[in-house]
Amino acid sequence: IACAELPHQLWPNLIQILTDNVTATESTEPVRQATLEALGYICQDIEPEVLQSQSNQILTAIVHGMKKDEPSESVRVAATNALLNSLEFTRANFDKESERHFLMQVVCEATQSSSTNVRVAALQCLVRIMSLYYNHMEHYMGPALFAITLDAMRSDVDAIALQGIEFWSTVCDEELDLAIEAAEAMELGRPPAKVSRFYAKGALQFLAPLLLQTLPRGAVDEDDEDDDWTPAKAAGVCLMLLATTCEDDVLPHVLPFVTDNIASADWRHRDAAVLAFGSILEGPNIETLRPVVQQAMPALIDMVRGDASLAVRDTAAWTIGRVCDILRDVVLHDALVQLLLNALGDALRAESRVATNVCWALSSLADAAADQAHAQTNGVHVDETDDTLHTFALSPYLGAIVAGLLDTTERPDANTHNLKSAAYEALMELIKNAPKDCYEAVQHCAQVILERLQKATVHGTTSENVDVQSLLCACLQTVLRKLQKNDLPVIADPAMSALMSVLSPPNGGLPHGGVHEDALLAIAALVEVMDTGFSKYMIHLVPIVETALQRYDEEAVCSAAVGLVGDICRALNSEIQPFADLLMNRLLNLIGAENVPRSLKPPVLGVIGDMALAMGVQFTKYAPIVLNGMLQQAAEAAIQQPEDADVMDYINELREGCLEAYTGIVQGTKEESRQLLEPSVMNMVHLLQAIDASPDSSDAVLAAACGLIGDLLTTFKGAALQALDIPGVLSLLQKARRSKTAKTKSLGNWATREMRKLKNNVNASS
Amino acid sequence: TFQNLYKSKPSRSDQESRRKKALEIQRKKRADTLNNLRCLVEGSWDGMDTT
Repeated sequence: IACAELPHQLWPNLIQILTDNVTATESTEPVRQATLEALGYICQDIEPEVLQSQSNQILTAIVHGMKKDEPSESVRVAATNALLNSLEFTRANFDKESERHFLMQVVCEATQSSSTNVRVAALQCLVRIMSLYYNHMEHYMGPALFAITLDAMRSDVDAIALQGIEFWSTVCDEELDLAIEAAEAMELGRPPAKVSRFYAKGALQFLAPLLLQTLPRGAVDEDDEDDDWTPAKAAGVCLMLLATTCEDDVLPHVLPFVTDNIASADWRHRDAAVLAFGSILEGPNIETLRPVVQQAMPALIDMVRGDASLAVRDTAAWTIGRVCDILRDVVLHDALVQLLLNALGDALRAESRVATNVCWALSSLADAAADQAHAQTNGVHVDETDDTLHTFALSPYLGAIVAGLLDTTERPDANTHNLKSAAYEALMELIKNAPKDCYEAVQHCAQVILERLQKATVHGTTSENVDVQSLLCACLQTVLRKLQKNDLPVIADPAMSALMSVLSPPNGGLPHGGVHEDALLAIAALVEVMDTGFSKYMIHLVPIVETALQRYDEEAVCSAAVGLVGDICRALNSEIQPFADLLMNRLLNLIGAENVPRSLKPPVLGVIGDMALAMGVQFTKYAPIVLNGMLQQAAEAAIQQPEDADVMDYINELREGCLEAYTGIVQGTKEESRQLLEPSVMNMVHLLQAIDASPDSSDAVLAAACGLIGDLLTTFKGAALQALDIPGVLSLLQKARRSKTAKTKSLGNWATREMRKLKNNVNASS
Repeated sequence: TFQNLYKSKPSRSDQESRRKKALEIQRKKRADTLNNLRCLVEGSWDGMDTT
C-alpha cells in the first residue's frame, strides 16, 4: 500500500509513524521487528527518489534497530536488511563525512555479531556500499574492510564466506569500470571524474591463496551439477575478475597452484587447478600467456578425453572453450588444431554438460579461423563481389564438424544443459564463417535444416518445439546468406513455404514471439538474396507482415517486421507499389498509436524513408500526411535537449529516424516534390541546429545529418543553400569532418563540397 | 550478476545477438543504398582538406 500511495503524496506521515514505532521505548519486540521489515520492503520496492527526502528518519529507525544493545536478534536482522534496501537513496548521508563514519561504524560492528544472520546481512550491506560508494571507501579499507572481508572469506559458514568473496568481486567490478573511464578520459584529454584506488591489486597476494583454497570446497562430482551458488563457484568468478583487473600480476599467485594440483590424485584438486587456469585467461598479456597455454593444451585435451571425473572433464572442456574464445591464435596451429578437433569431435558425444562446452569451443574456433584467414589474406584472395574466404584453418574438418553438430542436436539428452541451443548456435557460426572450399557442407546443412523445419511445423507448439523452430529459422537465415545464386531457386520455394507455415500455426493463432521474430528475420535473409525475385511471394506475405506490424506488445516481433518492410522496399523498388497502401497504413499507425513502445518509432521513420525511396514520385500521395503530420511531430520531439543519458540515447535514435525519413523523401521524390517539401525545410533546419547544439549527438546522427544536407543541396540547389548556409549547419558539417568515423567524415566532406560548389556558382554568376 | 559469470559461455548467435546482427545489416544496407545514389563511394573524400 505504501508503494502505491507514497509516490502520490497520499500517506505523508507513514515514515514518521514507522520511525516512532521503532524508537518508542514502549514498542514490543514483534512491533519493532514487523515495523523494520515493513520499512525494508518499502525501501526495496519503491522508486529511490520518493524516499530521498525522508532518508534521515528512515536511517534513524534502522540504526536504532541495529545498535549493539538491541536485545532481539530478529530486530537486528530486520534492521540490517532494511539498511541494505535503503542504501540507494541515502547518498546524501554517505556524502557527509560524519554521517558516513557513523553508518560505517554501525555496519562494521554488525559484521562482528555473534548471529550469523546479522553478520550475513551486514556483509551484504558492505558489498552494496562498495558498489554504490566506492569513492568514499578509502578511509575504511585499510583499518576495517580489508580485515573484515578476508576474515569472512575464511569462515566455515558458506553464506558468510560468499559475502566476503562477493565484496572483492565487487571491488574488481568497480575498478574495471574505473579503468575504462580512465582510458576514455585520457583519450578526451581530461581527468576522469572518479579514480581507482587499486584495492584489488593491493590485496591480490592475500586474496589469491584464499580463493584457490576455496575452489575445491564442497565440490560434487555428479552428472547434474547443482545450481546452488556456493563459495567455490564465487571464488572461481572472483579469480576471473581479479585476473581481468590485475592482469599479469595475477599469474605468479595462481600458476604454481595449477602446476601443483593439475595431476593430483584427488579430483577436487585437479578440478580446482583447471578452473583456476581457465579463470585467469582474460586479463594477462597474451604473449605472457602464450607459452603457458601452449604447454597446457595437450594436458587439457587429455583431461577432456579421459579424466575419471565428470566435473574435471566438464571444467577442462570449458577451459578449452575459453582458450578458443580469448587466445584464439594460440590454438590455430596445424599440429594443435588437428589434435584439438579430434578430441572435441569425440567429446561432442560425451555427457551433455561437457558437449555444451565443446559446442562453444567449436563456435569460437570457427570465428577465430575466419579472422585469422582474413588477416592473412588481407582481402587479397577474397572475391570482389562478396567477402567469402576461399579457405581457412578448419576447412579439412568442417564437413565432419557440421555432421557431428547436426547429430548432437538430435541426441536424446540434447535438452539438458542447453546442449541443443549450443549445438545449433555453433552450426550457425560454422556456416556463417564457412569458406568456399566448404560449400558442400553448407549445401548439406541447408538441406537438413530445411527438412527439419518442414517437420517441425507439423509438430505444433510445445515449448520444446518452439525453441527448435526458432533455432531452425535462425539456422536457415544463416545458410540462405551463404548459398550460391544457382542453388537458390531449388531452396527458395520450400524455404518460403516452411517459413509461411511457421508464421501461420495450424491453430490459427500467432506463433510464439521468439519463433515469430526468427521466422521474419529468415524471410528478410531470403529477400536479401533473392532481390526482385522475391516479389512472387508478396501477395501471400503481406497479410502476415501486417499482422506482425500490429504485434507491438511483442516489441522484437514488431521490430523484425518493420525491418523486413525496409528490406522489401530496397529489394523490390517500384514493385512495392501494389502493397504500399496497406503497409504505409500499418507503419503510420505505429507512429500514431500511444501504446506502441517508443523504441519502435525511430526505425519506423527510417522505413518510411525506404518506402519513399522505393516508390519515387508515387510516394507524393503520402507526403502531406507524412511531412505535415507525423514527421513534423517527431522532428519537434527530436529537437529536445535532455540531460538524462537514457533519454538522450532515444533522442539520438529519433533524430536519426527523422533524418532517414526526410532523406528518403528528398532522394525518392527529387525535384517533383519541391513544392511539397518546401514547408518542411524549416523543420529540417531546426532539427539540424538542434543536432549541432547537442554535445551528445552520436556519430550516426552526424552522418545522417550530413547526408540530408548534401541531398537537399544537390536536389534543390540555390534554394537549399539559402536555408542551409547558416552557422548551426556549418558548425555541424565541421564536427562531421573532424569525426573519427570514416563514414561520418566522408559524408561531412561530401556535403561541404556540395555546399562549396553551389557557393562558387552563386559567386560566379553574381 | 556474479552467478551468471560462473563458467559463462558468451554466445555469438543467441537470439539477442541475431537481433543485433539483423539490425546492423539493415542499417548498412540503407546507408549503402543512399550512398550509391549519391555516387559516394565509401571513403572517397577521406582526408580531403575542406576547412
